[in-house]
Formats: sequence, C-alpha cells, structure tokens
Amino acid sequence: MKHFLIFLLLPLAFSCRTGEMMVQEPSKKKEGSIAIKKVISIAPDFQFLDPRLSPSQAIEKQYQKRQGYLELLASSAQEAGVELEIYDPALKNNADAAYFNELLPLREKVFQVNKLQPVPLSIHRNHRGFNRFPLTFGMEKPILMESDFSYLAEKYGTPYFAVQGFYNLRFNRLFIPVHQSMMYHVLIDVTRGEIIYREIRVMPNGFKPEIVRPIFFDSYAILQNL
Amino acid sequence: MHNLSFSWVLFLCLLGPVLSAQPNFEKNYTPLKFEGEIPEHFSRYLRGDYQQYLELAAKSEQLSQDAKKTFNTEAQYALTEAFRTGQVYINPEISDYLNELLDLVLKDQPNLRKELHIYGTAINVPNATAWPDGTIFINLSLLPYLENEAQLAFILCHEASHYWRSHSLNMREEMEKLSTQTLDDRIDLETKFELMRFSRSNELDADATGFELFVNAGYDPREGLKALEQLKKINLKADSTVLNLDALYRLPDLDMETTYGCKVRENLGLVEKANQDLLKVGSEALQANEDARRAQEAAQKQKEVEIRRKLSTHPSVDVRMAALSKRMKEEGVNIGVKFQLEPAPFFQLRTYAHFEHVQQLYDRAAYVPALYLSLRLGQSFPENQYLQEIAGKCLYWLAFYQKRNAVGRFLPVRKARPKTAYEEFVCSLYVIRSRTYLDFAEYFFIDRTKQFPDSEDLHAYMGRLFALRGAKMYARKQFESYLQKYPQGKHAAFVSQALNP
Repeated sequence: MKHFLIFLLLPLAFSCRTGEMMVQEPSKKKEGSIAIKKVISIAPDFQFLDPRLSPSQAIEKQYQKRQGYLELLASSAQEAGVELEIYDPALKNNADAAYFNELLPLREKVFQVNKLQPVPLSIHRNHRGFNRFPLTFGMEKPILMESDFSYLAEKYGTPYFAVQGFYNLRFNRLFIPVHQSMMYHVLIDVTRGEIIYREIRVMPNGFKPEIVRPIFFDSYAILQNL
Repeated sequence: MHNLSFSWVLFLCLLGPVLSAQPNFEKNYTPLKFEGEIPEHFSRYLRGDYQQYLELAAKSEQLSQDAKKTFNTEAQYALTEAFRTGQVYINPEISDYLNELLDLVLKDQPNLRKELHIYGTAINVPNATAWPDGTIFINLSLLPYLENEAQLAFILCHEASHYWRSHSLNMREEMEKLSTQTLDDRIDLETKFELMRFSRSNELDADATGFELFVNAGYDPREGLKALEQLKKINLKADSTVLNLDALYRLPDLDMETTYGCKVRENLGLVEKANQDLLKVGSEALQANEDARRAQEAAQKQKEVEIRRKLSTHPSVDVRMAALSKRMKEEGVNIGVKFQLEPAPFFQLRTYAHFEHVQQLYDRAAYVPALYLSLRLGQSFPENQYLQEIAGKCLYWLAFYQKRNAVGRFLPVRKARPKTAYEEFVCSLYVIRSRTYLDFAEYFFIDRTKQFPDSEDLHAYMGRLFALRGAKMYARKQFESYLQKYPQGKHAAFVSQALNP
C-alpha cells in the first residue's frame, strides 16, 4: 500500500508547478523610504482563460468577475496604506476625455517601454526555464520613458501611476484541474520619467478572492518600503 | 454708413474664430484628442449590455440560441475593446465629415442610415470594417491611399452594404452549418477554405450593392474602380516617394565652439560618405546573401500562394475590378462627379491621417518609420514644428537605445539593393555607429531649436540628450533655460526633478 501511494504521489509531486516572483526596485533609493500614499491605477486588466468555455461564456465570466476584483484590489491597497484610485471606462462615470487623452497614452507607453527594456522573467527564458542570456542583457537601469507626462503629477495629486494585469488559465491535466495565474504590476513615477517598480508573480493557484487578496495586499505593502 | 461698418466688424469678428478653428498644418499640429461624450451604444457595451445585439441576431432563423449569444458577445467584446483601448476617434474633426458623407450616399435609404454609426479609427491597417450592430470603422491609415471624395464614398457604400445585407450574420450561419464556432487553427483546413469562399462571395456582393448605392448618389462610377486600384497599391506596399535625406544628413554650419569638442562635422561627413558608398555599390557579401535568400523565398512563396488565395477573406482586387468593369459595361457609364461636398474637408481629413500616422508610429515606439515619415512629411510642411519635434524625439530614443546596445530592436532588416526610399533610409541608419547617433541627435536639436525657439519638446529633449551624453553642465544649463521659459510646461515637473534629484 505504501509503495502504491509513492507511485501515485510521485508523478503528482513532479507535475506541481512552483510559483515565481520577480521584483525590480528603484534605481536610486532616497534616504528612508518613498512612502507612497496614493496611486492612480489605469484600467487594470483581468483575463480568465478557460479552454472549456466558449468564447462568449469566457467573455461573460470576465464581465461578471471584473467588477468584484476591481473592488478587491482597491480595498487591499487601502489595507496596505495606499489610496488607490482606479480609472477604467468599464466603471460607471469613470471614463472621460482625460482618461482617453492622458491616462491611456501613458498606459500604452508603459507597455512599449516594458517591451523594449524587458523583464528577465518574462522574456529571457527558454521553454525549459533556463536563462538564454545573462539577466543583465539590455536591462540597465534606470528604466526610462517619456517625460511628456510629468504634468499629470500635479493634476492627479500624485506622481505614481500603476499599470496592472491579472491572468488566470485553467485547464485539465489527466482529469486534474490545473491553475496557472500571473500578475504584473508596474509603477511609474511620472516626474522622474521612470518605471520605479516592476513586479511579476507567477502562481500555481486559482484566482479566488481568498488567494489573491493577500497577494494584492503584499504588492502594495512592498511599495511602502521602496 | 455706420450700419455698414458695424456689419463689417461683426462679420470679421465671426469669421476670426472660424478661420482660427481650421488647423494650420503649415506651422504646427496637435494630435487628435477625445472630445465630447462617450456615444450611447459604446457606453452600453461597456456596461455589458447585450440586448441590442440579441435583437439583431433574432433576425436569424437558422442560428441556435447559443450561436446567437456567441455572435453577439464576440462582436460586442471586439467593439468594446477597440473603444476601451482608445482606437476609436471621438472627435468632431473626423466624425462630422464622415457622417456628412454617409448622409449623402444614403440619402435614398433613410432607415439604413439611422442604423449606422461611423467613426474614424487609429488602427494602423489601411482598411475599413462594418460591424453587426451597424458601426462602421474607417481606419485613417486608409485615407492617404484615396484620391478624392468619390473613392471614400465607394468604400463607405461597400461597408454599409455589408451591414445592409447582414453579411456577418450570414457568415455566422455558415459557420453553424459547418459546425464550427471559431475561425482559428482548431478547425480543419477544408472547412476554413469553405468559410473563406463564402466570405469572398460576400465581398463581391458588397461590391455590387455598394456600387449601386454609389452610382445612385451621383458619383463617377469610374472612381469606384480607381478606389479598388488604390487597394491594390496597399497590397504591393509600394512606396516610390523619394526622400531627400539632406534634411537629416546635411552638414550644418555649426559653430563648433558651442559644442564640447566632439567631432560632429567629421563624423557626419564619414557617415554620409559611407552611406552613399553603400547605396551606390552595395556590399558584395550582402548581395550574394540576398540573392540566395530571394531564390529561396520565391520557391516558398510559390507554394504558399495557392493556400493564401484560398484562405483570403477577400477576393483578389483583379477579380473585384473585373466584376465591376463588367457591370459598368452592361449598364453604360453615366458620368458623375468626384466631389459633391466641399473638397477642402476631404483633403484636410487626409492630412490629418498623415499626421496621425506619424503620431501612432511614435506612440508604438516604431521610431525608425516614425522618423522616416516625419522627415518625408516635413518635405511638404518644412515649417511644421510638430514634425521636427517627433523627428527629434525619435533620434533621442534611437540614441538612448544605441547607448544600451539595444538599437537592433528598432532597425528593420536591411536590403543590399534598396528599392524604396524607406529601404534606403534603413540602410543609412545601419551605417551610423556607436556615438554617431548621439552626434546626429545633438546636431539635430541644436539646429531645430534655432529654427523653432518656442518648441517645448525640443528644449526639454535637448536637455535630456545632454544628460544622456553625460554632459551634466550642458544638461543643467538647458533644463534651467527650459524652466525659465516654461515654468508650467508639461515637462516642468520632470525638469525640476532632474535639477534637484
């Protein structure tokens, strides 16, 4: 019986994926911490991918869950001592000309800069998980971007703007449900024209509120010690 | 007399704002912005309201309830995403003219007109699309290919016909018939061929119906054919415009004392010579490689042509032109007009499209094409400050990534025998090495800040460029001068931070 259990559990143990996490902190640390009090989050992205669902079911599920997760994100940040203002056209009365003319271009720019000055965890890995290049390849700091958005700091009352995304993939492996979740969090200081914080977490968990709440909290709590 | 002079003053007062509202492309350009409120049907989609679509899909008797739902949700999601990501221009400068034109071509179809909403989009593919809820997207990148209002009207008629004839719904019904829910790789090739054949027949149908609307609106039918000819040019991606590279490479009459000892003049001279040599002679090794590659590509292409033809959603332009020509011969050509509205707004819209294309390329960090297009457009608008700012910023970022040994991410593959002006331009960028990018950028900023002393961007980026070179004293001087000039400028917070880190 004991041997039988070993043969049963070993493949399961090997099939388990471990999580990964990568955090990049500011290039130049000031004396003490920056102590971020307020962050503007621009249209956080939530995607739930499930091959079992039809495209329309997947989209509907996304609409249903989105609102709840946005609220969870804001409350977790609040608990970590950060006031989080979310700007998203999907939220009622929250999309106006300023969103399309100021925040959206900033968000697009952040994606471009991230692509051009990439995160090692997301790019420089081959399919076996080994580094193809040294981690420092093309990764000099600071991660600079346009200074054209520095005027936003005064308008929104904070120089810190966040671009975030949360993805969950669910599939079956030998009738066992497998979850893979990914979260990215990029924080920009527009007055420095610099990405001051990048975080990527890959988790072998489902995307349930009780699991992601501490992760959201942790992500914002780290900002207090930058 | 008093009344007369008063009416003149009143007339001039009213004319002033009207004239100043017209964009002056000669001097400057401000990228298009979101103006007004979110249109009702978009805000409904953002709230996840599917009802409108369910009504539309209810027309179909063949679709199952699930298929109707899938059809609704997918189309609604795609539209919402296009809007949410800022791809749709909500701006009267664009939509007023497009709506006026659509009113004109559908003047005999008032019910159809009521169901249609038309928008310009920033999607960087020269195309137009009709959506199942009656939304028509005209990608602004299509406009530079069109020569007159009639050609644009033909495109609008074609797209309106797609909606009128419920082609998207028919396509979904065909998918249902073939028992497939998607168009992706999961379905087998034969089913895909069948679906695409159906899609091509829809296109021919939209051409025929659209052509009828187009001719009834009073346009010259030959312009419909010409519009298709223009589409052929898009497919060939031909660009025969000659770019005068002097705008970038001319040796400036710089006072070398103002710089800090780098040999700008010598470097620029070397690059220009190397560039000319490369363009004239070409490297033998590169030529041999390219010949081999081309032969290989030709063989591969031959194999793929047939499959591509079968997988294409649209029939070839030649087939579409032949169908229209046949119809014109049968019905006889009634000469119509090329413009029914004022020509000026059409050309203004086309100019907007050119400038917006530059802005989109820059926003997507495609610095090489953005630099090329800003220089090319700068030939037509030599006094335009915006184009010089974009060119300067592109040069700054190329120098920035060059310094980090990552400029290769931007440079497209170079051709040994460049055929187009753009390929020549790419070749010229390959010969620029190491510090020379910085030299170019520096020369460019010094020259252009003299030409455009009021440019905020050029001032700020010149300071950043000095900082990138490590010339801290020059950077500080430049930043201080910026702050004096623009204490409330858009870079002011950044500059203050740079001065007092």
